[in-house]
Amino acid sequence: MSKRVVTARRWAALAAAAALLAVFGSTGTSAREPLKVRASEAFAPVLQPALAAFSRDAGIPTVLDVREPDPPGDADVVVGDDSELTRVLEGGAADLGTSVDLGYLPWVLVVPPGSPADVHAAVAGDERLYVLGGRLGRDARAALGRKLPARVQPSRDAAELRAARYALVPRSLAGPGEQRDAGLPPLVAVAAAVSAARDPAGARQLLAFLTSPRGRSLLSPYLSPAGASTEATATGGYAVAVVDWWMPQCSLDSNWYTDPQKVLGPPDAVYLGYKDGYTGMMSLGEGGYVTVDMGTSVVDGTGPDLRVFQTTSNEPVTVYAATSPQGPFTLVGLRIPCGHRTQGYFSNHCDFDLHDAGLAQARYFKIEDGEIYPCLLRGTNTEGADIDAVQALNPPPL
Amino acid sequence: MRCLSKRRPASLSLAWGARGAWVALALACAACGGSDDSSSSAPTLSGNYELRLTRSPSCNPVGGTTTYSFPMVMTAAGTTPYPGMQVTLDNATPGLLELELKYTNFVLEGGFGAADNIASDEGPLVFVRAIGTGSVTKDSSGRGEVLSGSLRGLVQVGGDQGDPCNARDHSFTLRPR
Repeated sequence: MSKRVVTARRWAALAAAAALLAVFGSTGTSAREPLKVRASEAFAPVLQPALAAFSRDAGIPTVLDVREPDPPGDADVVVGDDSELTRVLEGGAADLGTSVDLGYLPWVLVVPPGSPADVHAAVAGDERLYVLGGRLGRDARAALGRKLPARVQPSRDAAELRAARYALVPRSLAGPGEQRDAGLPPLVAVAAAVSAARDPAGARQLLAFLTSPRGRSLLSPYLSPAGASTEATATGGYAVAVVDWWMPQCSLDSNWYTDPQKVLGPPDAVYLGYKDGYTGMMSLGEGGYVTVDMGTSVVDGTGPDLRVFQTTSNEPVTVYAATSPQGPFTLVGLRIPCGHRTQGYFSNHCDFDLHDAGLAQARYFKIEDGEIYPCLLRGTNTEGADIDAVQALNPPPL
Repeated sequence: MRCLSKRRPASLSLAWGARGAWVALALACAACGGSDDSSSSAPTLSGNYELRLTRSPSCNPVGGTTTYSFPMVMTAAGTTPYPGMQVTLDNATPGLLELELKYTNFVLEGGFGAADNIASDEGPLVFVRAIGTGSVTKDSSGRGEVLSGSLRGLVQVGGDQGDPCNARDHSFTLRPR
């Protein structure tokens, strides 16, 4: 039986053909080859003023190629959301050592001024709610689920999205209507030099510009500062023992970091500065898991109760909890993107609340890969969520 | 009730006490009704299967159906730390649709991962990133099958612009074909 595969590349090619933008500065007549920057639709409007300024200031012309940054193609620099760059950075197509956070890009709900507060009521009559298509839009639509009205129209056409009376889009693609909080986690703008860049020096120069005060100022109309990371100063202890683990044989064969003991203790994962060079973490592989003993019960307190430190981008994590090592395990959070920045640590994190599982306390936690990327594709040596540490945020009172 | 003696290799020598225990278990298993060869052996998990994914009732129906089918091939994959099974899309690029499952106590559990949108037998394109769990039973020919599995995670239908649905109550079956 033949299987027809429709890839995102078709959309990407259409978008690229329609939207290849050239941004030349006053020295655009230079014979120097332009620096190629690839970014998805959401980030193109964010970057344009900064690229123009960089070209003027540095005398390096730039070309902005509007399409998904994975794969990076012939670009020198890629810019995208954490989730868009996960495989590019993890697989080494872009240099993790050069990656920088540019800031947060919020999702907004655009409605005509004075619309009712409820989105179902706001999208009245035969109106459609336009939503950004592609990977980013898919995640947003999945997160909102039934909160969205039935008449949803995905689109990757920036002009169409801006013209829509009702739209769910990153702030950079919002039209003139009233912008409301969409209730979604913001996109995290990340930039990195492509490993095979034709102009690596120019790529690094651009990254330095984008993270300079002038660069951040030019990005600020859309991006919120990237410094809003969370301190890892919660009061609880860390996982003390591994009681069970599993990953597919395929992942055991291809992953480099398969020692479950690496998830114990405080976060200590580091990037060693070369492709696939890490220490202090366990890559779970396709659907793999590690179950840990926290040494004492974690209780359902105010706010989140458990923190998982995950090393690469915002690879999703699923968590189950139990009061005995044999279970039964109750689902606490399903495929939660695990990419909140953690001040002072290389790893990012995500938090879980026992209340979401209806549990008053638990001592054993099963941490499961939520990326579920097919192992046989063998894209990287770190497939699956990369677990650095597990921390109790609400231990029982003494 | 599962009969532990059915899984015991016949070639192992046993101390008399242990042997007595196995005899007692065998007698107990007579009450299970299993006596012929096909029912006294573990179900065979290998060969051609049909995977059917059914989206959660909370998802929007797409293409007039909520169930989507794929021809798959199952093979054993590893023994450490637990036995595993690998289930891949028949006659397709490896990894296009790949199930990596732990197999213990007659339960299959693990990841359902697609690399891209896959055309289902019913027509609509399907993309899945989910964890499935299902008890294995034996069909009339002795092959293992999952008749009622649970699936939690993302099942998107309709291509890149289609309807994504992240839910805890999708379901699946995996039956010999």
